[in-house]
Amino acid sequence: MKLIRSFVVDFSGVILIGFFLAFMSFINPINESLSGAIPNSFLNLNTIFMSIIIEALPFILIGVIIAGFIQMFITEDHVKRWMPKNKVTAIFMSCVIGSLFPACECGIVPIVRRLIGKGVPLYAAIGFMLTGPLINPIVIFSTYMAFGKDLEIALARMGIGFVAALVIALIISFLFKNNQMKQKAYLMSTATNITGQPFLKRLDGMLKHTIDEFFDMGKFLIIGAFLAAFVQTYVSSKTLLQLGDGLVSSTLVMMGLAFILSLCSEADAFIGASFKNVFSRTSILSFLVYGPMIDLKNTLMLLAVFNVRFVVILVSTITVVVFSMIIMTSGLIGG
Amino acid sequence: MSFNLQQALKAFILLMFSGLIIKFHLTGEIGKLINQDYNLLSKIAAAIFLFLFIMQLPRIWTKEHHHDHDHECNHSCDHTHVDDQKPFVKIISYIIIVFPLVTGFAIPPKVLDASIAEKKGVFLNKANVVEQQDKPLENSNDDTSEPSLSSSDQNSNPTDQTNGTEEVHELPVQEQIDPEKVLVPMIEEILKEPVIQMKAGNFVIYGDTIHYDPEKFSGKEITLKGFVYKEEGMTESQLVISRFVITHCVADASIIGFLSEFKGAKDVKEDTWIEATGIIDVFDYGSLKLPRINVTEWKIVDEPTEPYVYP
Repeated sequence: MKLIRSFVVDFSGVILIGFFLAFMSFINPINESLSGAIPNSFLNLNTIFMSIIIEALPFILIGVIIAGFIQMFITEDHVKRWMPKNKVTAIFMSCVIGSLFPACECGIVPIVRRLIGKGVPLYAAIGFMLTGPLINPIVIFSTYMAFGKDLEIALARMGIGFVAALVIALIISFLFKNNQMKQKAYLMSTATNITGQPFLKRLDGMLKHTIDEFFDMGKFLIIGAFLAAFVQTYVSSKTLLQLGDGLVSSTLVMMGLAFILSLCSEADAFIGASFKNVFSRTSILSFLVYGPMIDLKNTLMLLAVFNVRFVVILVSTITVVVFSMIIMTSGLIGG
Repeated sequence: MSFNLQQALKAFILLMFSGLIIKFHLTGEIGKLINQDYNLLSKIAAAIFLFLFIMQLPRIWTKEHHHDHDHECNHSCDHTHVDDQKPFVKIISYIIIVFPLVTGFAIPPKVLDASIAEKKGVFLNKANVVEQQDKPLENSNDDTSEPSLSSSDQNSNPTDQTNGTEEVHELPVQEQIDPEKVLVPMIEEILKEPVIQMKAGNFVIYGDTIHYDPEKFSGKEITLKGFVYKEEGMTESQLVISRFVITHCVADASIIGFLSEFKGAKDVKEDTWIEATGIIDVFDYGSLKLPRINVTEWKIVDEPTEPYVYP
C-alpha cells in the first residue's frame, strides 16, 4: 500500500508539472495580445506590484520557515525557562532580541503568532515585533548608506525606535491581560506532543506548517503590495506635498505614507532619503521609525491573528508614541 | 486513499510561484522588476518554492478521508489555516493568492515611463542643495524644475552591461557618497574626458557629480541617452533626458536626468528614447545652480535592453 501511495504521489507531481508546462505554452500568445489591450497605467501598476512581490517573496519565505521552525522545535518549556518573570525585564530582553534578529515585517507576524502560542507573553512578543524589522544590522547599514554615510540619522532611527518599542510594549503590558489572540487562533495551541518525536518527523511537520503559514500570510503581502503599487501609480507626490507643511502635518503625512506604502525595512531608507529635499529630516525620521513597526500589510496580518480591539489599540498606541517621540526629539535632530 | 483537492491546489500554486520567478529570470524580465544584486536571493526563493512543492505532494493523497491532521503536530497546532475557514472566505483567499500569478504570467512587466516619472515627482538633487530646503517644491508654475536623482548613496558595482553597444565604465566600489569625498574627486576625473560620455554604468555617479557642482562643467561637451520627460511648465524647447534609478525593486525607483534645450523639443514625444550631445551650461534655480544641456545634435534611439540604472 505504501508503495502504491508513493507512486501515486510522484505521479501527481508529474501531472502537476505537466499542467504547468501546458499552462506556460498557452500563456505566451495571450501575453502578446493582452499587452496591447490594457491601459498603460495598469501596466505600470502591474509592474510595480510584481516588483514588490518578487522582492518580498524571499523574505516572507524566510519568515514562514522560521515560524515553522518555532512551531516544531521550540516548546513551551523552552520559553518558560528563558523568559524572565519580571515584566520590565521581559520587555527589555525581547526588544534586545528583536534588535539582533534580522526580520522583515513580511515575516514577523507569523513568527510572533507562534511565539505567543508557545507561551511568550503578549507584551514581550510585541516588543519583539516592533524592534525585529526596525533594528537589525541590515537596516542600520542601509539607513546609513541611503543618507550618504549619515551616522546621525541611522542612530536616531534605532535609538528612537528602541525606546518607542519599550514604551509601547510597556503600555500594552498594562492594558491587556491575556494574549489577545483570536479565539480560534489560540485553540489547541501547543500540546507537548512534539517533544520526543523523532527529528525527521518534526522536520516534516515544520515544512507542512511553513506551507500553510505561507498561504495564510501571503495574501496580506499581496494586498499590501497592490495598494502600495496603486498609490505609486495613481497618486502624484505633488498631492502629498500640498498636504504636508510644517512640523506636525509633514510628520503626519510621512507617517501616513509609511503606513500605506508598506515597504520592507531594508529598502525604505532609500525611499525615505528620496524625500529629503521635500520633507524635513524630522518627518522623514518618523517615516523611518513608523514604517517598520506598523503598516497596512502588517495590520491586515495582525487582524487575522488578533482581536480587532487589540489591533486598533496597538496601532493607535504605536502611532501616538512614535509621533510624540519624534516631535519631542525634533529639536535635537535639527529638522 | 482519497484525493484532497485543496492540497493539490496548494501544491500547484507553490509550483506556479516557483515558475513565475523562474520565468522572470529566464526572460530577463527580472531586470525590469528588481535590482540585479538581489537576483540570487530570488533564485533561492524559487528553489525553496520548488522544495515546498515537493514536500506538499504527499498531502494530496491521504490515507483515510479526514482533513489533514496527520501532520505530525496533532493538537499542537492552531487551526486558522486555510483548511478551516468557511468556503466563501477560502475562495477569496485563494483568489488573492492566485492573483499575482495570473497577472505575473499574463501581463508582461513594463519598463517604467514618463507617467510614473511625473507621479514620482521631481526632486532636487540632494547633493546639490546647499542649504536645507524646508519649503515644499513649487508645483506647476515652476518652469525650471530640475529632475534629478535623490537616493543614490549606496555602494555597489555598477551593473555590467551585456548589451554590446554600451561599454561600462568600471568604477571602483563606492563606499560612500559623501559629496566632499566622492563627488569632488570625480569632478577631476570627468573633466579629463574630452567629451563626457554618460553610460548606464556611470549615469548615477556622473549625474550626481555634475549636479553637485555644475559650474565646473560649464562649457563641457556631453553625450547621453535617456527617455524624454516633460514637466509641466517647461518651455517648447525644453525637456528632460532621464533614466530611472533602481535601488531595490522598481517600487523604489527614482529619476535622474538633465534638463535639456533644443529647438525641436516640443515635437519629441514623452517616453521617446533619444541620444543627445550638447554643451553644459548653468542656470539659477532660486539660490541653486543647476546644469542644463544645450543640445547640438540628437537622434531617436531604441530603448536599451537595460533601461534602468543602479546606484
